Parts: sequence; C-alpha cells; structure tokens
Amino acid sequence: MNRVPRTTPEVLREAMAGNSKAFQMLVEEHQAFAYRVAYRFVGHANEAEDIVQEVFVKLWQHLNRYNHEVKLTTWLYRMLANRCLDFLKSARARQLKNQEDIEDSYSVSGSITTDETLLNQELMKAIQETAASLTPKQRAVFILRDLEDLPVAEVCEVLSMTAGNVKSNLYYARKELSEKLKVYYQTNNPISL
Amino acid sequence: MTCRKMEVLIYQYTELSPSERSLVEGHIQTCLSCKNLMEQVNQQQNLIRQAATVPVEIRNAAQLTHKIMSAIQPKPKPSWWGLFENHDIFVPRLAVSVAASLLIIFFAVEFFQENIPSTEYSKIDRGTSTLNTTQFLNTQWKRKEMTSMSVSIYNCLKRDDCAFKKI
Ligand SMILES: [Zn+2]
Repeated sequence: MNRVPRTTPEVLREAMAGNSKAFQMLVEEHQAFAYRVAYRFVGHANEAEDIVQEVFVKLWQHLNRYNHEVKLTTWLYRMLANRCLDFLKSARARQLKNQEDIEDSYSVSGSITTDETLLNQELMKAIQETAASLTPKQRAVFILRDLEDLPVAEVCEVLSMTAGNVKSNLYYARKELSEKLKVYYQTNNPISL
Repeated sequence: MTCRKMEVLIYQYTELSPSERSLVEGHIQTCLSCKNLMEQVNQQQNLIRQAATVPVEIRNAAQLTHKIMSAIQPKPKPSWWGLFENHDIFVPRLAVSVAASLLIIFFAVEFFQENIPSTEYSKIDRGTSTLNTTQFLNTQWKRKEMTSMSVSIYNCLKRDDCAFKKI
C-alpha cells in the first residue's frame, strides 16, 4: 500500500530542462505519495496539502541541481520531512494540536470495507493520535521507518542522522507508543495489545 | 547483560545485527519478563505494519495538481500601464504625487523670479563696500526683465538670452 512512485528517466530529464508538462507528469505521479508522508507527519488535510504544494514548488525551483545518485523519492522524503518538522515547531501546529481534523484522510473508498479494514483504519487513527505526543525527531523516525518502511540507511540519509541516533529515537518512539496505545485500547477498543 | 539494556535491544530488534539478535535470543531463553516483552513488541510492530496499509487519500488530487502547476508558472512582468489596471491604491497615490510635483515647480518658479534674477547678481562681491556700478545696473536691468517675464518659465527658456539658462 505504501507505494513509492518511480519516474521514467525521460520525464525527469525533460522536467529538469524546464518542461512544465513533464513536471506536471512528475507531480501527478508523486503527489499521492507526498501527501501521505505529509499527512502522517502533520495529521491535518489542509496543512498537508499546503506542505505538498510548497515542496513541489521548491522541487521545481531546484530540479536543475538534482543529483542522479540520490533517488528522487529520497530527495522528496527529505524536503517533506524538513518542511514538516519546521511546521511541527511552529505556532500554527501548537494551535492545531487541540483541534480535531474534520475530514480525516484515512479512507476506505475504492476498497471493500471489511471489519478488518475498519479496524485497521481505527488503529491508524489511534497511532496518529498517540504519535502526536512524540518529539518531532521521534515522530519523524517512526513515520519513516515503521509506517513508510524505509531502510535505516535511507532514514539516516533523509533526516541527516547517524544510525545510532535513528535507533535510539526508534526505541523511545516505540516504547512511548506501546504505552500510549495500551492505554488507548484499554479505554476505547476491544483489541488488546 | 541486564534486562534494562535488553529492553532497548528488544524494541530495536528489527534493526539489530545478527550478533545482537542472537544475544537477545539467548537472553529470552532464560528471562521470562524479557520474553513477554519481546512478544508484546512483536505484536505491536505487526499491528503498526498492518495499520500502515490503510490508504491516505488526497481530497481532490486534480485540484492539488492544478494548485501546484499554477504556483510554478512564471508571473507576467508588470507593464507600466498594468500598474493602472488592478491597483486601487496606486492611482490616487500617483495623482497626489503629480499634484505635489506641479505645486513645487510652480513655487520654485515664483521663488527664482523674486530672489535670483541672474547669474551676474551672484558675481557681485558683497565683501567690498564700493559697488561696481555697471554690474549693479546690469543686475537691476536683468531683474526688471525677469519680473516682467510671464509666469511661464517656458517662454523664457525658448530665448537665447534667458537668464534661467544660466542659473
Ligand atoms: Zn531479562
């Protein structure tokens, strides 16, 4: 489900040369992925969309400096994570922290709604809620490693962290989530951890 | 290794090297609380992996693409006349500054007519008590000429002997 898009080298080359049609193809291919990452970080649809827009505008402005040795998605993960971490430190994020997002983006549209998918949806919302109490670094490491399923080396590259630092943040994030989720399910849900 | 240190490794199990993993495996053979923790962490990681499969959907993908593409289009350079078209503030401001400039020019003309009749006047050595009569008369003549001149400075500027040209 965590589909990471791939752009053909031709489209990328054209976009790098300033072809806006090619860039639009690149946007169409990558925006769902970018939105998923941003939403997992910030938990609000409007803010996630704004971040995605800003990141693509920045990508367009810097695309001619793109280094082919780095995967485009790694570069996007990096821009998204940086922008999301800035957002999480902002006054706007503190303001939104106590507000319920009216429309959540965990959708079951287009798929068969079974008890299992509904439970997964509930679980994902609970994870998102409990992850909101993690420090921005712990949250970033948790999202990239446990939700996006990136290898540790790529998490290090995206967040400019050492492997040791990534692992220690993962430990604190998982431990904190385990305690919070236990409390959450004891009070809200029949699933036991 | 203590159970406290083992706890860290259990939470990081998926990131451990083979030798670290066998250290954990060895410990849980003999320690029930760490064995229970290991099972609990495994269960939690499985649930998270399962939850991560829930799709995250953009409300309106086409609209988002459109917003991004409009944001990257270069904005047209503002033309001079363009300034008059969409700016509510610019036009009144321009009118005020044009009016102010015209007033300044008008008063400047008045001032020069009254106070600085010609370049000769400035050449008079004010330090000497004896006045050069020719210079004085010349100055007076020019002063008269300028005062009789019409308010419009432009008429004067058309003539070769216009005193304003020498200022
Ligand atoms: Zn133990």
